[in-house]
Amino acid sequence: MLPRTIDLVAAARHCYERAGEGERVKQSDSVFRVLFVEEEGLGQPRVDGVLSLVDKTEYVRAGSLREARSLLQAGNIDLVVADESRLRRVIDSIFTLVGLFSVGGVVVDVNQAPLTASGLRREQVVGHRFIDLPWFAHSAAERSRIEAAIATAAAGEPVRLEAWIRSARDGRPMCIDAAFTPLRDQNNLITHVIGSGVDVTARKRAEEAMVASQTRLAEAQRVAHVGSWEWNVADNHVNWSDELFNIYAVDRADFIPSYEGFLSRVDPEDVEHTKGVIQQAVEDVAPFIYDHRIRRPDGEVRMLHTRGQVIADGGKAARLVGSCWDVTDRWRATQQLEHSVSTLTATLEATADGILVGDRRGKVSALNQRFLAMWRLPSEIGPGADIRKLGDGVRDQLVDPDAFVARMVELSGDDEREVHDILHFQDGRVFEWYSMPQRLGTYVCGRVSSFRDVTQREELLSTVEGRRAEAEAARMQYEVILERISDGFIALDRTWRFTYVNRSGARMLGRNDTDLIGKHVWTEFPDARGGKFNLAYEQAMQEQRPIHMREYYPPWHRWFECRVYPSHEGISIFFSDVTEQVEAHEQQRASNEQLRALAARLDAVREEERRVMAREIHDQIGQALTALKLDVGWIRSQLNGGAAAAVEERARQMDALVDQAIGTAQRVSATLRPAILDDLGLAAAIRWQARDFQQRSGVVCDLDLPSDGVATAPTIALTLFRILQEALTNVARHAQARNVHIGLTLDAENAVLSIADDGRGVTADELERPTSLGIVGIRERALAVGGEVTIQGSTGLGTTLTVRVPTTAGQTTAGQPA
Amino acid sequence: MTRVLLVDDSDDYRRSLRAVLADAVVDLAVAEARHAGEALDLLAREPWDVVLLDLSLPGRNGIEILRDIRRLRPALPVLVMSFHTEAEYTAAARAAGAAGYLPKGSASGVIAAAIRNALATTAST
Repeated sequence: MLPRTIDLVAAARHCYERAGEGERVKQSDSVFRVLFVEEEGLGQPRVDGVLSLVDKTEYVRAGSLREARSLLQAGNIDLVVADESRLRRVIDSIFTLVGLFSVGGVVVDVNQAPLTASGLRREQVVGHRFIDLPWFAHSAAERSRIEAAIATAAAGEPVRLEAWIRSARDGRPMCIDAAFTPLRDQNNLITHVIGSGVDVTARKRAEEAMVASQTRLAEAQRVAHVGSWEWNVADNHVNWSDELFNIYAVDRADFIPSYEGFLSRVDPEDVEHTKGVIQQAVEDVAPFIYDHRIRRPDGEVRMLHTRGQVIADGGKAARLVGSCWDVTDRWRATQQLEHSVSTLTATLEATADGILVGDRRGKVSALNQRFLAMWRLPSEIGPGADIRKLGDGVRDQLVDPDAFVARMVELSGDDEREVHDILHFQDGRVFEWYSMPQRLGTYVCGRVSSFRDVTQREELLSTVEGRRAEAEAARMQYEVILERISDGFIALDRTWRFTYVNRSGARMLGRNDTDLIGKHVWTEFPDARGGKFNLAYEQAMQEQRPIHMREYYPPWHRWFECRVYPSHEGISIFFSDVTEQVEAHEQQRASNEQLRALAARLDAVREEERRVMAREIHDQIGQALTALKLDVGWIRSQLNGGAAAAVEERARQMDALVDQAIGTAQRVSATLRPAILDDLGLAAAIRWQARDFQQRSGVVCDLDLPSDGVATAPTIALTLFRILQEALTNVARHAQARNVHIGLTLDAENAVLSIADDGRGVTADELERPTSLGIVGIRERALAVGGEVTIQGSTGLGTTLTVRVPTTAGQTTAGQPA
Repeated sequence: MTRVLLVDDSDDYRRSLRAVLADAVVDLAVAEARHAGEALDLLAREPWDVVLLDLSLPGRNGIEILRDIRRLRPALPVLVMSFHTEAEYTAAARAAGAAGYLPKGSASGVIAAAIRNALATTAST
């Protein structure tokens, strides 16, 4: 079916009617297809200008009648435009304000809408600069904005803006949503600027009103600490008011509200309850009120009071809306109050005293169970009971009921009175009674009485005197003992004052005992302050443990032995002057030391003598004998059967005698000091010595030695070698061994020599025997170079002797010839 | 000519040994040194066929002197002589490169044979 070719004016009206009052034509929701049949006078630029005016309209062009016909046959065309005068009528009839301006901003043409709105005639507008029209007379700022917009469009860039104009007819302000678009010719040159606009005043006013009302709501919420929210159950979209963001202390940019997001902010302890309330509200489609805590990002807990409503759609909950009131301050105050009351109640019940609080009318306002028990009153008595009646009920328990009653009367007549009394009961109990006014600020609102059962204390007090006498007797007994002993004895209290000094003590301290009592020890003996005795006493006091010490006291040049016993009252010190004892011991030690040094020196001298003798034998006797040996040999070769047999025989005997002498010289030299030790080192010397020993004694030697090249300081080498010789002598004499193992290890710190035999095993007794000179000699030799000796014997399994000598000894120990 | 360097600090022994050598070796030239310094000096200056070295020289360890000589003249045979007869000395001298070890108390015939033996070994190498 072919579309109707209808009047353009009617078409535009059609658009307008569908759009509604105050709205723009383009808000029409269906597409309106228009076919332009291009004829003379309807050029491309014009069409483009029209295109910019109306949205939601599709334009189709036909360059010829034939083309137009085929498009129409394809269908879907709502309107055919074929005449400029008709188009003009369309433009005039629409509510959009349309104007055609020169690039300089002079109005070339306008449609009817602006003329209708302003009340101006076409000739009052056309030919004038647009911004000079009365519409902009009210504001220079608006005028320059429009001017700039037209200039921008004239430069080729479309502009859109909202501008406020004033109607020339009635002066009312109008908000125009305006667009300025460049209009180009076939050569793409900008010839005009098209302006179009829609009156959006009503919408603008509505928007402004809404913003204002939203601002007022937010302000109200802020002031009241009330936030509001809305939850769309279906799409889980949650809307929060600004104040709700403030209450949760989260930023709108950082936190997108959702039901889960909300739950994540709820205090973990309240999550289940919250979920339950909301689930119930959704199920019941009913309003709800509940309190819950939230946690802010910084951890602060706030208490919210929430009221919500469920908005239903078809019987089911569609949306939940509500408000949250931050009631943290009130909640905290309540909590604090509850806590205080609970503390007070607990304290009242926990105290050992009986407590009774009365108001000014003589009624009980508070009491504890202890009070009722002490006075043997029924446990159901509580606040509100008459205090005078309670007094009458219990007075007969007392020894002096009249005095008690008189006191109560006296107190009831004087609110300010404070009383402390002792109440004696007929059954022997004794109470202390304190009574004082209860004040609220300066106002006296009642009276508090506390009763304490002091029966035991009173009983104790009565026996204390007896005890004191007993203690005094005991003390005197101790003093008699302390005065008899020869040791000094002093007692100091915790403040370092003398509480007791016995006679010996006073004598040793060179003071009178009565002068010292009560005096401060470090004031009386300032030289001792900070010294070793002072420190020991403090230590004993602090650690509460006995200390035994023997120390020199420089100011008196004396040695003292002290036994310090702490107690909670202070310390007791037994002391004696041990100077003679210490000096005697010291003398003995020094004399031992001298003896040892002497022995070491003697040994060194002997070693030196041996060394010199050994060298003499080698250098003089040895060389002479060997030369002699050669000479005798030479003589014998010269004789060579030519001399008398007696001469030959004598020469042969000489030769034998020289051999013998050489052998003797070698033996004596080696015995004095083996040259091998100095020439080839300790390991070689040990090897030689072991072989020699094995040959002489028959005891098999097994060696574990470092290679010959390892150097040992001469002093150490000699010491260890002599110890080895001494040890092997012992093995031969006493051990009854079959095998001996000799080991030597050398490292950076120590030289260790061990001699282990498989003989009968040395006994502890033999080791300690002063006649075991060999062992004493071994120890002394080791000691002289800072070494140590261990000897272990195991019966039937043998003896192991180990010598450990620091390798540095060789460089530092003098007095031992190498 | 056979050149022998005799190193010993005993004048008597050197004199006696010279007599033994004179009989034992034909066409012999003997030089004497009394201590290590002298010996090393001569060794550095002149060619030698054999060195007779006493192990107990003053001032220095004989084994060390032997090592110095061997370092200076690796091919030169050195016969070590010593008053000491312990096996450790023989082993130490051998280890340090001695061509032989002669106890000084040996009979002159033994000494002469040892020197001839050392010279023969040198000649053959």
